[in-house]
Amino acid sequence: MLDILSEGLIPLTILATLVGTLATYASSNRTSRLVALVASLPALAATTYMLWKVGFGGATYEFHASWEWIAAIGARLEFGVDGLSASLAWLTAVLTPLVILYSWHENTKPRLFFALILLMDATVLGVFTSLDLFLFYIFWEFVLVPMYFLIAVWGGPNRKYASTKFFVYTGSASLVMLLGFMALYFGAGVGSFSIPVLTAIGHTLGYAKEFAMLAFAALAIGFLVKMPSVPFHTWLPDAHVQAPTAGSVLLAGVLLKMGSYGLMRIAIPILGDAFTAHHAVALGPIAFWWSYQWAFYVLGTVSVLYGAFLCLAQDDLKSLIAYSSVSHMGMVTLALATVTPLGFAGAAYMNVAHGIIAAGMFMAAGSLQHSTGTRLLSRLGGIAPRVPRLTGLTATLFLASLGLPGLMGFIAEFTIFAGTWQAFGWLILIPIWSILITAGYYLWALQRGFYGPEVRHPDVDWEHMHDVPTTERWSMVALIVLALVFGVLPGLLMGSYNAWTLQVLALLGGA
Amino acid sequence: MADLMPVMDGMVQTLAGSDLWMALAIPALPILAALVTFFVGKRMWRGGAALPIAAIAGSLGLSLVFFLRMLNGGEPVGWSIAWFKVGDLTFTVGVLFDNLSVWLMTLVSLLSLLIVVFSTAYLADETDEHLRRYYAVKALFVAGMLGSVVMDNYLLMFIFWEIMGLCSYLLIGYWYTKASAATAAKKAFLTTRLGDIFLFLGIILLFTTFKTLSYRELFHHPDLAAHKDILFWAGLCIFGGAVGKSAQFPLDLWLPDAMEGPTTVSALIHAATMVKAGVYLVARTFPLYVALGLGIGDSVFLLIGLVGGFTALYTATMALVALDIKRVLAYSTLSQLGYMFLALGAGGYLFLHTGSGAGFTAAMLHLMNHAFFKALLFLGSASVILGMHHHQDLREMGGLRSKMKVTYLTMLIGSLSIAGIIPLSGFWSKDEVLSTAFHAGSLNGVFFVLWGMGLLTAAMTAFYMFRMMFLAFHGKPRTESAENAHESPATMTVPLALLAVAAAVSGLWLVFGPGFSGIIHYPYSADLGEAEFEASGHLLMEILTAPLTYLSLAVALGGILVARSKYKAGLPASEAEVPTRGVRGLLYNRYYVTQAVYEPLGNVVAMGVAKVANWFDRKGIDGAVNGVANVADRAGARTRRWQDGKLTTYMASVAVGVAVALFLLHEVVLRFRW
Repeated sequence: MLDILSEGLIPLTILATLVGTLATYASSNRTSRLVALVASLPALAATTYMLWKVGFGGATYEFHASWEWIAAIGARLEFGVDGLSASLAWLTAVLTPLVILYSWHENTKPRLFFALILLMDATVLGVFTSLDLFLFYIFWEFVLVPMYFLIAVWGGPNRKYASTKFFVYTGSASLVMLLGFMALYFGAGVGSFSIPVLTAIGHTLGYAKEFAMLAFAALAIGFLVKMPSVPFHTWLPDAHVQAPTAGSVLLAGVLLKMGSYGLMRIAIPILGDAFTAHHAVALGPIAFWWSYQWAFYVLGTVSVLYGAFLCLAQDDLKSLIAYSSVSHMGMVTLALATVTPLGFAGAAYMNVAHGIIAAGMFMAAGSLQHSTGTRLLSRLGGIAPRVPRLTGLTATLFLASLGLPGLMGFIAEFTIFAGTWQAFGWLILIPIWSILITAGYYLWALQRGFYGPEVRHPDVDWEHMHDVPTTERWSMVALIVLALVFGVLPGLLMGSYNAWTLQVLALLGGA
Repeated sequence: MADLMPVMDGMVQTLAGSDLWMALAIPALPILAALVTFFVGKRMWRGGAALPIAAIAGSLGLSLVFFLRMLNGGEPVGWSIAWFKVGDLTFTVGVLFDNLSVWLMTLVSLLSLLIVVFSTAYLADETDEHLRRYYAVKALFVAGMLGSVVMDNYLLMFIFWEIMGLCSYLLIGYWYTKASAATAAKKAFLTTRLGDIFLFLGIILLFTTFKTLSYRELFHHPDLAAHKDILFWAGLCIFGGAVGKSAQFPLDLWLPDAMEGPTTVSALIHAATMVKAGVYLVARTFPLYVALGLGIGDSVFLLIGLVGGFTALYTATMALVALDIKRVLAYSTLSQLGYMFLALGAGGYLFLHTGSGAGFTAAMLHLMNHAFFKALLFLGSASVILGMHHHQDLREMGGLRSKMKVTYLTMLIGSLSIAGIIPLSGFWSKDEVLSTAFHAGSLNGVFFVLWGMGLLTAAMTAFYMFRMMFLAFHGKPRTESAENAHESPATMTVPLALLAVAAAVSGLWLVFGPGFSGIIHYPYSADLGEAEFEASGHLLMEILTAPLTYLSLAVALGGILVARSKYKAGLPASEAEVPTRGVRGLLYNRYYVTQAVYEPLGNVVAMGVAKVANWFDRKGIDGAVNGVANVADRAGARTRRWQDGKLTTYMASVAVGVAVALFLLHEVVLRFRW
């Protein structure tokens, strides 16, 4: 008999959300939003329970389940969560109802729209909870489908280009990742796709060094494109700018985290030696060494700073927020490079912090578009007295994103930089300047778009400008409250991250 | 050096029961008031002003309980719990009520209360919707300041420190539809954040090295001596944070611009409290600088003294030609903060060499006195601005003395006090600051130079304050607004009068009764045996018989007399226009540092990098991506002809593909494993 509060919980949650998807599509256009909202709640309840349960910090996977599936290749239906994955599953389940609420007045093909959002919910939950690489890959690829259609059908004027670019770019990266999965599978040679099994093998027997190097490269490329890290990031601004708000929220909130989660769950734990090993290179008279760990420092630092500078040059608020995601996800890459408890816990915390805050910022950008008809900051100056609530919400979310203490981003930033100091010493002096540039682009954006005298650009309809509607407002308020709660009580998540952090670091032979 | 370490140890008595609740309520009451005011203030009197006033009064009452206990010789108390853990590091939350924090929180809540009460009249013309924002943020600010004073570790102090910075940003930009206010708010936030990056880094250095950020544990950490290199850099970084918050050179430029906010904001945040947080931070960090010992510690103190002494003089020169009444006071604030850092630097230097704690006490006394007289002067200028119907240019004033008697008299007391005229408060602390620098000069000649600069600053201070007083209150009214000026209501004049009393007498604490140094000194514990202190009566005699005292008095009187001879008759024709050239132009434009350094750095360098990066991103990186896609597209067009719709063709190509993939995989596996 299946115990629905232990091994059955995860598959039933995914199944329930998929049933909800069908129910939403089968409902009428008018009721579809309500059906979708109700259908998103079981996953929220279940993941909240999971998060609470892993909070007690066991070292192994909770709600672990494993059933035979494709015996010929050894693929199994294996699920389970720990602190790292439970918090991301919970983030997904929280953002889904909020996005439905935010998009309450969507009137273009609402049945399909809300069904796609639930489909995305279910498949992303699958990514964060599956412990079998084969299963993981299926969910991973399936996530592309609802997002592709969200951009291609409900997107902006250039949606065809953006959706195709999104699909082809991240899809190709997934193939590289799949090659990595195959390498792990054949390299281990035990006929198992199970992440726990492969992790144990990677740690005990170890893969041959050069083989592990190649496999790590394949996995890292697949995951870094998804995060995305510079130089693989250019699909993101296009996708964000063209996507409808709901698409942007889920893209920034959870889809990018699939990339960092992959690094944290698969690439680094299984191929830890390859991640930290130094490799000597001799190019004629120049001899030097490198490691993936240092490459991650470079990629992270470049993403953080380059992304921040790009934000300074943006006029479209949405593309500004998109580049800020590149910058903040660069913090995660940097954090992983540290291989310290502070860095790893900070990476996990930044995932959730960015998921909550960037989701809120994309909502704000969407509301700005609804209220004023444009997102171009240069056309908007002086709107604050006309849209005071939107101004307040946007400013609060910006402040959260720039790492204001008391809100969630600060905890992530502090732990990551502390880990960076431990691992890289004075090299912290390069990425740390992002703190200033980040504050600069957000405050400058507020000043240009909201404060100062009225610009009254002819393209902006001042007559019909209205403040943020109720459903949109409360979605953002909910996210701000979450950012505040986790900013004041970091122990809610950090407790369960510690177990994961120590486990991975033990595999890496550090700490 | 062991005998110079603070006595206050890890064994501070633990707060418990009702005492703990009282202690926590001190910062918590204003936070609650901020929240409630923000959400329901719109429907209440003056945007919900009553709530913050009640909450701050509550904080003041509770602070006074601890203050009286301290005066009666109460021991320091503290409380601390784990906040969260990462790896082997535990983040803690806690409060520490020692003499320094109890004294400062009492001062902060008292000044906040007077200034917020004053605001109810000063901002009476504003709509309730705007006032709700004003009072909510003001209450949050008070919570931030109280929190950063009472917290017992660097990280929590930093969190409240940043909350203060946020409130400063929001209140400078209170009139956000004005372009200049929005710009000034951003500038203030970014400049202080530049300093905060250093503070942030300093905290990280301390935390990762010593595994704790608690003042009590850190100052007695057994490994301090073993990690002097880290301690040195951390100490410098912390000072960097103080330089940003207290607007010292080279991060001084945001504060004059911050005058874009309502004058009551300038009085509270940019004169009496927040800008003092940097001074407090350095005072709080004293044990770490001392732990660096001779050779390293004294060079750090020398640097602190140099920054303070230079800022004092440099910004005083700007006040000489300022035309806006608030700008005069803003430059003056920078200059006086410089005095405090000079005293801390020279005092620390003296302490390391001789064990004398006079400099630390002088800095803290000046902090308190300055808080009183500068709050008084700012509120006085607010009263003038209101009386003048929102004109604040000194050239438009004149002859206000007869129309605004209370404002005039109270501001006169404030001006005499800041000028350093005996027996008003400024006299005592300024004298102690200068005498510390002078004594440190016998150990290191640089402090002689700094003392000379301090003395020159004293002369300039007297001059520019009385230039302001004469231009505003004496002579004949120069405009219609000055002609029709009126005195402000009692809600404003009563706080002015109370502050005038404080600004007159607060300095006397140094020399009467048990004396200020008996309470606030380094090491700031209940134990007096460690550093040398003068008994208050003895100190009084020493001050009154020292030639230096009369030198600084003479300099101050000289400054006043020069101002009188130049401005008594009214505005000289030479100052009728905004100076653009010569020395006056240089001073008026703040040595063109903004135009020469900060604007190019922001507008040219940062924006230039951003624009180049944006071009590179779209044309370079994304250009390559699209290039690959185009190649693939053309290749696709070629290969499309293979898609002939015949099942056999597809089957064949699938077979070939699978074969190739399996072969490659097989080769790779064979090569690298087994």
